[in-house]
Amino acid sequence: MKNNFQQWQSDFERVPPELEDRVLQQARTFTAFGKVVEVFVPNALGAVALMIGGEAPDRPVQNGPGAPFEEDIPLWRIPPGRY
Amino acid sequence: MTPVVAKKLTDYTDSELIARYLRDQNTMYFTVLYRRYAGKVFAKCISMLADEGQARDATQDIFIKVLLNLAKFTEQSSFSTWVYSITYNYCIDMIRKKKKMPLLFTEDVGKVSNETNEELPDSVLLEMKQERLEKVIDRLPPGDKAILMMKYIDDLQIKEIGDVQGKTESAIKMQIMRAKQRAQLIYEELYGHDPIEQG
Repeated sequence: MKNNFQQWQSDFERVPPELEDRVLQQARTFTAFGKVVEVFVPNALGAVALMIGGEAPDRPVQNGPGAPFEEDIPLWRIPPGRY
Repeated sequence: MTPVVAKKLTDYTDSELIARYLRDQNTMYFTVLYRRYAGKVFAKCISMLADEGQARDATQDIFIKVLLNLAKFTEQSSFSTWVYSITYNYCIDMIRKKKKMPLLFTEDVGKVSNETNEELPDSVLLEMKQERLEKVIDRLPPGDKAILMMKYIDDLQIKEIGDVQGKTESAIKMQIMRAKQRAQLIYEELYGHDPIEQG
């Protein structure tokens, strides 16, 4: 059972419906912005690091150009049908 | 064979929704959290700010703050306590900025005599008629208002209130006592010695 404080509070609990649209719209914008930052910022920082003479961070690509040679021929150069 | 029934989003606990939002960055999980707490947050904002327009803006800002800080939520308290603490602190800051009001607690106002350390029973507040309670609460300094709301609306323990306010348990006990004394004083100013009754 609600006490008088809780009763008083429950009188105000009806949220204006347009508020949900405003909040969720802003939440979607921030979330999308967060994803963009997550994707581009590490690359941008790497580029800046290179420009000022540092080393670029390790790239996740393993078989592209510049990847360490663990075998004689990098995988990306094996012609189709050789396996 | 028992059919596999997908769990409805509304059945997820707060922690599950937070974990999924952080993992998938999908706002549908945040939407559920918003719908679960928007009413309470909005009501607290109206009670604290006494203005519907400001309460709307505050609710929006509070939920965005919650969204941006979800990763920092450590589950030391329940999610609701965390959200409400953001709400109270936001509203107190807003009042302080807008009204340039440095007086947050009864101790700052200094109207209640320091000699009276008499602990008033909860019934002093809990048995007031609702419309009278509303008027009394409106006249309290915002810090006192928030602390009484945490105690009587959110049912927070003294320790939890202390965590929210960053104060010790004994300091919180003292503040609650002062806030109750001040509420009684305001009641007497407004209604004389009319008996306090539940309406």
